[in-house]
Parts: sequence; C-alpha cells; structure tokens
Amino acid sequence: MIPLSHAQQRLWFLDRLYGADPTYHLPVVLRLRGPLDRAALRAALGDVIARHESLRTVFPDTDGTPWQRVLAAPAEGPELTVTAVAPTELDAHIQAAASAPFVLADEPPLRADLFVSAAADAVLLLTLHHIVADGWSIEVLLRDLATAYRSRSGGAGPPDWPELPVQYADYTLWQRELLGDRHDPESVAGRQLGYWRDTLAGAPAALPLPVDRPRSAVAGHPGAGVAVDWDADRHRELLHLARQQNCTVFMVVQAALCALLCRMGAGTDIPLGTVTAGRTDEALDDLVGFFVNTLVLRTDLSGDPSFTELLHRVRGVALPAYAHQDLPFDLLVEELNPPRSADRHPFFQVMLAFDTRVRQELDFGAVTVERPAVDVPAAKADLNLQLTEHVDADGTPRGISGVLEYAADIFRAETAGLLADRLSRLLDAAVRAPGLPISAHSLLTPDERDQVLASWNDTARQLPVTTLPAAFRAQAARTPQATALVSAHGSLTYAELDQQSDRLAGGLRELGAGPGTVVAVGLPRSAALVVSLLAVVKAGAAYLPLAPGDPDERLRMMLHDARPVCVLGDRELCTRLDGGEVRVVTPDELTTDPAPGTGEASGTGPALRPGHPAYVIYTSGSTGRPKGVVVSHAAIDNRLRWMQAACPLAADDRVLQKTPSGFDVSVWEFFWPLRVGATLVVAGPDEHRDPAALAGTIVDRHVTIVHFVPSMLDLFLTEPAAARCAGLRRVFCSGEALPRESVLTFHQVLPGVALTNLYGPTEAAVDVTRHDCVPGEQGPVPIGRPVWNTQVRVLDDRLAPCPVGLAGELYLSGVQLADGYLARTALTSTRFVADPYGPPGSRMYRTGDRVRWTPDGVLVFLGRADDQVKLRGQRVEPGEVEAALLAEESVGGACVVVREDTPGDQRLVGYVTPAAGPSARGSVHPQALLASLADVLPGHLVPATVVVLDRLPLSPNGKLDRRALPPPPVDVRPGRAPGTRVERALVRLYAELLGVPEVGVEDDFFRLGGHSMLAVRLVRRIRAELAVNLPVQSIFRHPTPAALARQLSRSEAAEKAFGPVLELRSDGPGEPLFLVHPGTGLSWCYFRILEFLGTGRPVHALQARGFAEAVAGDPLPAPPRTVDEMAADYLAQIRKIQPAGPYHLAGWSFGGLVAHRMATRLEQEGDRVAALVVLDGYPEPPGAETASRPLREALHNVLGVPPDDAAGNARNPAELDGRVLDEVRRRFPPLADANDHGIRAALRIGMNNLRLQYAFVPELLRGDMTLVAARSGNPSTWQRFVAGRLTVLNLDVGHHDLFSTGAAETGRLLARILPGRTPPPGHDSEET
Amino acid sequence: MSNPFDDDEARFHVLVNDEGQYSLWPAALAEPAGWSAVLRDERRAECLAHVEAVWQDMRPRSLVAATGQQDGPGAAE
Repeated sequence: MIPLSHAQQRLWFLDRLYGADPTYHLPVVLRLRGPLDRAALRAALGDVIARHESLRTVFPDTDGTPWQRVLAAPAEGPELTVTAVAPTELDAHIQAAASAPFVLADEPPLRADLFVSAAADAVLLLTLHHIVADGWSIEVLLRDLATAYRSRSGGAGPPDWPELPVQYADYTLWQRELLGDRHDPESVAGRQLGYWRDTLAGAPAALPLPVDRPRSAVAGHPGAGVAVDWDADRHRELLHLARQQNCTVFMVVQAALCALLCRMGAGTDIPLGTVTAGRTDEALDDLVGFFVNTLVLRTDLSGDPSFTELLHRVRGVALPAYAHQDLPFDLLVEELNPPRSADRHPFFQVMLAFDTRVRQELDFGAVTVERPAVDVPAAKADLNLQLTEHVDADGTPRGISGVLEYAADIFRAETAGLLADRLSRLLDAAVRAPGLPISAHSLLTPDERDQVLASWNDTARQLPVTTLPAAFRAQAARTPQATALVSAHGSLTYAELDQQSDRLAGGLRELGAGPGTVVAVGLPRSAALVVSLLAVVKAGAAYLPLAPGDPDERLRMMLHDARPVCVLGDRELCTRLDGGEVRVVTPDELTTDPAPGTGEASGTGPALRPGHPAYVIYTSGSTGRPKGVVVSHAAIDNRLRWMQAACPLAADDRVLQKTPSGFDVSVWEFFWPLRVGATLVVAGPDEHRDPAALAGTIVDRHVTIVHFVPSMLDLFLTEPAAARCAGLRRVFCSGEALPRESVLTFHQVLPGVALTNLYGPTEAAVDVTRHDCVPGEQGPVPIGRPVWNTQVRVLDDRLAPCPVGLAGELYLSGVQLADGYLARTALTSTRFVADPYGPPGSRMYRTGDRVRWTPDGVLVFLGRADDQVKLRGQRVEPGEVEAALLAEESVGGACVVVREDTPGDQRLVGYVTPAAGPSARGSVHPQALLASLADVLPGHLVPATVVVLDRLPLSPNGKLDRRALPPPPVDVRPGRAPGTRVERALVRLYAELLGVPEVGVEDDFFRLGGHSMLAVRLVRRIRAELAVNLPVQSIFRHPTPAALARQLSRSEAAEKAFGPVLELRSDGPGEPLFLVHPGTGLSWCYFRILEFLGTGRPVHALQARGFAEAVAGDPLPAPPRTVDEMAADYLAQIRKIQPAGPYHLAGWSFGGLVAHRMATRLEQEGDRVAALVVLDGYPEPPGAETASRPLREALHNVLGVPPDDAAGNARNPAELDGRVLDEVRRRFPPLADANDHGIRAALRIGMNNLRLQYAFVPELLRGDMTLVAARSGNPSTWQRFVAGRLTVLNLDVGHHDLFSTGAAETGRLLARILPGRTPPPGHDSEET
Repeated sequence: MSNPFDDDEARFHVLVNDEGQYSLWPAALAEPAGWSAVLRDERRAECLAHVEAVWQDMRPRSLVAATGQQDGPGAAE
C-alpha cells in the first residue's frame, strides 16, 4: 500500500474532521471561445489523467490509516458533464459544481464540467481536490491539457510527450526516505524538527485579531475575500526598498503585514503562515500533485522597531526557515503538539502567500482561452493574504494583485476591507520613511482621522449656562402648585419644596456656607434629604453626600479631606460624629423662620457662578484611598440639559429616586425632574436593593422613569412583579457593562418600555455617552455616542487615535469634565491631562476603560484597561462565557472570573444563580452546564468549575462585587479513577492508542500526545467497542475521557428516558418533588399529571435500574434484592439533586411502598421528610403468598388491563409470543419501539419488583403520610406502619386508571396535598 | 496595552495651562498646544512631587478671577 505524503495526510484528516467541505477544492475556470471540439477535449482530459497518476488516485483507509490507490486510466477519457446554461446563471452553476463534495475514498479527485451558453461560447470548469494538486500543478495541468487538445483536435491522436520520469507515489516514498526517522536527531527530519522546536518555543497559541464577532466553537469557516490591487508604481517602490535592504518584495509585504497586525492589537510576537512550492527536485517540476508545504515565519516586533529594522528581522527569520522547509508541516504539528483547538489553525491564524508569475498563454488551437478569477469558497486561516507579483519577462514590475481572504464568521467584510486598506497605507508610509518606528505611521486616512476625532464628536451646542438652584427656582416659579416630590410621608408642591429649602439655605449661609464651600449631607433617603441637597446648592455651596451606613472612620476621613462648613445629618449621625472637627446639625435645627427675602437675593458674599462646584462625590481609588471628584454647576448643567433634550420628561412623568446619594446617578434623579416640572418619587431608605419592593413602589406610585445598574436590572427582571411595571416609560442603565441577555429579557418582561444605556465616570458629570437599546439588535450592547459638548477619544498608547475596530483607551473631554480630585493635585495631573486634540490648553480625562469604535460611529465597551483577563495566554472575554451560561434555561444570573486560588493554577470559574430563584439551587446542574458550554464555546472559554450561588454578591452601590465571590469548592478531579462503564472503556482506549500505561478520566487526549490522526482512530475504536458514532470533532471538543463519556451518554437519548432519574420538570422555585415508579419500573406515567402539578417546583421521577440496558439490548445489571436496597439506591440518586431534606416523596402502587421505605430511611438517618404521599399502594397483609403469577401481574401493570389467558398462563417472558409483545408495544408507550428482547427484559424487571413487593414489610414511619386510595383500596393495611397522622383521601377511580383516565383528578389531588412553601402556581392552575 | 501616563520607567514633563491646571505629560510625545512645561524630562515620581508642591489651589484661574475668592474646595492647605 502506498502511504500518503505528509501533506496529503493532513488534508485527508481535515476531510474526515469536518466532512466533505469545499475548503480544499481548487476550481479552475477556462472560458473557451470558438469552435470547440468536445470529443477532443474529453480525450485530452483523458490524456492528462493518464499522464498524471495523481489525477486518478483515491484514498481509501484501513482502520483509520489512509493509503493511495491509483485507478486505471479511463479508456474513454473522464466524464465531461455538459450543461446548457443561460449566461446570467453561469456563475451560480460554477459555484455549485465547484463546491460539490468529493468522496476521497472512492471518487476521482478531478471533475470536469462544461457549461455551454452559446454556440461558440463555453466554460470549462475543472475542480480538483487539493489533496492531488497545488497552485503550481494547475499551471502544469493546463499546459498539458492544451498540448493534448491541440494534438487531439488536430487529428494527431494522443500527444507525443515523453513519459514522466516519476509519479507522485514515487515522491511519497522518496519523501519518507529523505526525511528519515524524525526521532533520529541526525536524520533530516530530526534536525529540522530541532530547529522548529527552538524557533517556535513559546509562540502565542492564538493571535489576538481585531475580530468583529466571537469565534464559533467549530472551524470550517465560511470564507470570503476582498481584492487587493497594487499598481506598478507601488510595486516599483516596494521593489526599490527591497533591493536597498537586500530583501525580497515578499519580505517587505511580510514586514508590513506583521506591523499592521501588531498595530491592530495582535501583540509583538507574530507568527505568520506561508507556503513553499515544495518541489525541491526538478524531476518534480512537471508533476501534478500536492507538494506545497507550510512554514511558520515568527517575527518579533518588540521595542517598536523602525521598518528598516523590522525588515532585517524578517529577513533573519525567513532565510533559516526556508533552509528547514523539508519538514512537512503536519509532522511539525504532530511533534511539537501546540495547544490545539478545532476552531483555529495551530501555530498561526494569519497566512501570507506570495508568488511571482509570468503568466503563460494557453494555446488551444482555434479556441481562444481566458482564465477568469474564481471566487474563493472558504478561508483556510482567519486571514489569508494571497498575492501574485506580476512581472514582465525582463523583470519589470507590473503590479501586485490578489485577495485578502477572511473567515467570514469572525470578520465583517468592511473590517477586512479596512485591513487591506490599512496595509496599503502602512506600506506606503513605511516605504516613504523606513527609518521611523512602525508605531509612528498612521493607520488612518485623513478622512478617517477626521471622522473619529471630529465628525463623531460633533456635539457642540450653545447653551445658556445656569446652576442647579437657578434651574430649580425657575421651575418652581413656573409651576408652584405642581407636585414636586412624593415620599412615604406625603408629597410637596414645588412651592413648598422651594420654601423649605430656602429656609434651610438661610441657616446654612449663617453658618458660612456659600459659593466655593462644601456642606456634607448625611441623611437617609427621604424628603428631608431632597430639601437638604437643594438647600446646600441654594446656599451656593457644593454638597458632599455621606452614606450614613459608612463606617465612622471613613466618614471622618472624607470630612477631614473636604473640610465642610457643617454636616447636615439626622440625630444618629450627630451622635456618631459628635466631637469631631466638623459641626453636625440636623436640618430642623438650622431651618430659619420664614422671613421676607430669604430667597436668592438675600445672600451676601459672592454670587454663585456656573464654574463653582456643585457637588463632591467620592469614588473608590485603586490604591484604596477614596478620592473626591469636584464637579461644577456648568458640567452637571450640561448633562441635565442634554438629558432633557434627548429623553424629554413631561409634567406627568415621575422619576424614582432610589440611587444612594453617594453615587452620581442620584444627581440626575434628584435634579432633573425638579427643573422640568416632573415629580420626584422618593423610594424608601433600603428599597434600592429589594426588587420586589421597588416593583411595588413603581406600580403604586406610578413611576415612569427609573435607573438600574445592570446587575440589579437582572435581579429586578427575574422578580415576578416586574412585569406589572408596565407604567414605566423608560429605564436607564449605567454603571457597568449591560449584557445583551439583560436587554433581551428586558424587552420580554417590559415590552414597549424604552431602555437606554448610559456610560460615564463620575469624573465627567455622570454620563457622557448614550445608546438606546432597540429590540432586534444583536451583539454587544454599545455605550453609544457622546452627549452634548463632549468629545470621546479612543487613543492608543502613543495617544494616537485608534481606527475603527481597534481597542484603545477611552479619553473624555468637553464641558462635563470635573475640576479634579479634591486636595489630590498630583493624582489629578495624571488623570486629567492635556488634550492634544482639543482647543489649546484644554484637558481630557483618561477613563481606564477600553473601548472601540464600530463602523457606525458608536462606542463599544470592552473592559478595563488594567485588568484584562488572560488565561493561559489566551484572551478570555468573560462576557462571552456569561452569555453562554445565561443561555441555559436553568441559569438566572452568571458571572465569570479568572481565579488563582492555588498559586500558579489559574482557572476560569463560572458563578451562576438559578433562574428558578434563590431557593432552587438544586435546579442547576453544574456538570450539565459544563457539558452544554462545551457544545457552544471553544475549550479555553469553558470554565473549569461552575459554582451555584443563591445570588451574586453586590457591592453597596449595587454593582456586582467580583471580589466577594467565594472560592470554588475544592474538586476531586485530578487522578479520578473511571467511574462508569464508558469511562473505563475510554480510559483503556486512550491508553492503548497513546501508548501510555495509565490514563485518568481528566487527562487531555492532546496533552498526552494525541494528535489529529490518532483522534480519527480513537473515533473508530469507540464506534467498534461502544457502538456509538461520534464525529472526530468531539475529541477536540471533549478531549478527556470524562468529558467524552458525558458526550457519549448525551448522544444516547435512551439514557435519558430510561435512566434511573427521569426529569419531568427541571426547574421551579419550590423544593423538588420525587416520584417513585410503579411496578412497571418506568415513571413515564407521571407525565400525565405534570400539568396539574403547576410550575412551582421541579419534578423528578425515579426509574428501576436496567431499562437503559434492556432497551439497548445489553445484559441487565443485577436486580435489587429488597425494597430496602432499592430505597437506599434511590436516596443516593435524589441526594445528587437535593442534597438535604426536607424531601417531598410520592409513589404510585409499588412506588408508594418504596417511597415509604425511603421516608423511613430518611427518618432513621436524621433527615427530614416534608411530605410522603402514597398513591394507592399497600403493603401485603401478613401471611400473603409470594406472587403466584408474577409475569401475569407484571403484564397487567404494563398493559393496564389483565392479560388474556394465553399470555397470563406463561411463566417466563421467553414464552410470550409476538402477539403479546405487540400488545405491550401498543398499550405501553415507553416500549413502543423496543425489540422483543427489550420487552422481555423489561418484564423481568417488573417481575422482580413484584417479588420485592411481596417480601416487603414496611418500617414504622414516625411522621405523617397521606394515602390516596382508589376504588377498592385497603387503607387499613397502613395503620400499623404510620405513627404520625395518616390522612386518607379517596378517589373514585380504579387502581390502574389513576394515571390514565383518572390522571386529571389524581394530579389535582396530589397538587393540593403537597405542602407549598411556594404554593400558588400549582394551586392557581388547579382552580382554573 | 500600557498607558503612557502610568509608565514608571518613562520620562515626563509637567505642563500647565492658562487655568493654572497641571498635567503630567510623556516626554516622548509632542506637547499639546496651549500648555507650557514647568518641568522637563524628569522621572514620574519627581514630576508628581513637583505638581504636589506647586499646585495648591485647584480652582480654575478664571473662576478665582471672577469671584476674587481665596478659599474653596479646590484649595488644599
């Protein structure tokens, strides 16, 4: 058998991995004009195929090892499919034909199609599989085809050409010989391997590219391309620079591509893939075959080199790389075993292919031939720049053209186009000034620069500048009798609020408050707080909010820092801060008598100006010392004016004030409605953390506008009462990234309510950008566009503007900037810095937030600049993992962090809360979540652990507090022995295939040295030994025996329906109900009552062991010998779902007996039973005989009616004939599809249950029991086994009809019996 | 991505504008218009100490001029 060349093996494997896929098709299109001789064409094709064995080679395999089989040359020539097509449909036909799959195992790898659109106009499409050809081969093939066609059409018969000296098969063998044994360090393979091992050590596993969308878990990307066309002038300049620097044009392009990627955020260690012709002997030159090899060119861009320096580095990389080009790339991958993933190319994700071509003219005699370009059907890397350098025969540059292919699932066409443009621009800039550092060249065109700096920041508005008190006073004068404020203690009109705050302002002035001073306010949320804040600003001072809940020391520190005139506090605060350096007074003490002229004009001292501070709000500092942000009236006035223009409030709007005054969102809550005539609704002091209370207030007080921090919004939306808040008009979000999932939930729960995402730091007057969330949007929720008189700048680390799509740090400038940090001038000078793009002398604030522009000019928040999450060298966007977790039905909230609880062991940990509510932790199954995540996410994004929490911890301001997340429980993963049959089998197969003595269930196939070829063989062995057909990809996605075993069991649907626990309802806020199967052993009957039980709790049903095996035709496990043994097994099962009591148990018939035993065992073990319901099941009276006819009774249980005599007399299931088995199939749905063997095995399980039943004597139950007795039940048999209260409820239904015709009554009764800690849903539905 | 203002290894200027506001500035980058350097090409810590020393009243000069006030929350003692 002729083996495959190494390169062929890789393609063969990819074909197996992804299935037939046009990724590796090579379509060649020839437009033929003139008198085409079709017979001659077909014969000529036959001549070419006869000449090149490769064109008639197929690739069958033996046990997963492929080999080359050369078919005989077809005597008639190959099939030439001729199709008449309209010219407009030609392209579609070509696409379809070129994409049709090849079956490599037995179909020739060359297809020929002739499309005829006019009498003398035809298009020949040759489609080759890359496994037998490469770019060079196509030139050989066309040249030979032309020769043969001329000969055939001229009547000369077959062409007279010399035999080829060697064929591809010879090359295959020769290649193996040349390379030698790669394990021999003296062999060519061994030496070259050593070189590559050193060269590629520590290379990045994945290059961070400026992608538009997250990568999907699976490669096989749809590809697309943008044209690249560089004219002869640019070509000449590149050539000139290349010659000057003793380089090639290829190297110049390579350097520019590396520089571009580096500039676009890919880092300074850039591996590129490239291809070499691989025809290292001239005997190979005339062969059609797959010779090209892939090389990795790894360039170091650290230290911001000049282009000249970079060129030298590139040259220093390329020369030795080419000297070691014989080692096939797939061998390299196999040996070096880089971190692998099915979703990306190993070693590099960007390719550069470059060839120099003097195009040949194809001579088809009387027929003229053109070769139009063909669309590329699929990308082979994330980005693949394929260029052809056109030169005249004398070497004169004629231009460079080609295509930038991109993986269309991660890049948008605009982005690829921008990349291509920027590459050209960078090349031009570098050629002009090769001595400048690569970071000095702008990637932006003047237009783009103008766009990001000016057009998208064109926010200038001429506004009358005022102050907070002036705006309020003006409104109070306009609508004195309108309601200004509503709180738990009543309401105030504008006039009342104006007067009360005036009186307090007078008192403050007397204490010395005035413009430029500070007054601290430490009051709980109340009307008095609003009055006080207004009074402070009316007095001209800036207010400093103090959170009464803060520790004394922190309050004193702030007071020491800010030196306020006084503190306005309640009595409690007065006591706490008594004796400190600042006077503390209650508003009542200070309020002066109403006297004429206490208004604005009465103050003495300087007038309040817009430049004066309006408030000082402390934010946490990275060093741990909080810093006070000083914000002027001018800044906040702009913010409030913009808000009223962007989202106008009307007089009947009611804004909820719920944000603590120490957080700046509260500033607009307080002052916005009061300057436009709307009403401020003051929530209770602690309400902001209680979603149910908030919902109540929103409904009761007719609130129309409310703000949420996104994590609080999530909590709010899971609150059932949230849906009643339909009176809301708009919800604002800010404070942290708003997840798309929250937006989707929002629109579901509150359709018709507007949702606006705001972004801004305290340092720029609350918010500086805004985005209105519209249903139907996808992807990350933008933070939007800048507000009035505000500029947003996305700058790189040289403070140059970032182009669209590139992550940079966000800087803000404009009128909303704060003055700085109170008494922290040095800190201020590092954060409020000179703005190189604003008016002379202006400042900008650097936020520390990473953002990027979208092509539409909106900003997308990416995270903090200072805590980017990287795990094992790969970028991890926790939001992506969180989104995946949130997509799971059982998950309500999610948060993902990288933890390092053991030094050096960084792990991605997911925290989730149950969708069903805090009490339903049992409804979330971490292992199942992980298995599901592995289905949708690349491996590095799947958390190591998922921890279920009742709720995610929030910091005092309601933001998610990541630091308060508990460490995950220590898991027992490493070295765990295989637990299941499948795990045992997999562990053995791994060990055999990998040649290692022992494998643990958590060992990674690839880390143990497994590679793609071995993965194919593993899949084969699994199929042979476990009878499960898996795609090869599943090995990549689930590389450990444990994960693979989970996957295997998932692919066995039977496992679910016939497994030991049947999940009837997976979630619900209440405690789960566990039902025990009746004598049949299966619990499907309980589906009938599910709808009557309501949605309040999860429902699980136990099933007898052995059904999965029975249905699969496997031997049955040993049956339980006693009810006690069965009960113990079932308790172990339910404890996996609900680790501790109180338990809710119920069972029908035999299941009632088992449930009783489970309950008594629980009591004996000290656990609690909340409810035990026995549905018409009874212990056998003392002295009862062992079942005399167990098969008859088992049949009765299954059929629901007594079996006829013929069947009833049988003693052994083996005696049952097909008629009876069919009857079982008809009457017992679970076995409808079972084969005879399965039905007989199921009946044996039923018979065993009967034996257990007759032998069972219950223990004494200390607690209560409810018995549902059907017609002719015998409740008295239970009396001596129940010490607690025995409640008997009768149903006028036959025993066998309880879960068929009587299911509705049974279900309703059971729902009523079950105690409800979370009762209503079930009961409500029962009544309707 | 490292922020040029946080690089402890780099050299900085201290700039001041007409409002009397100070800004740290990376010495490697061109100085923006409307600012003048009061300290050049120094280590970051030196620059910050300088700012601390010379920038006592954080209020914009235009506001001080308009009010004639001497004291306020922007002033540090």
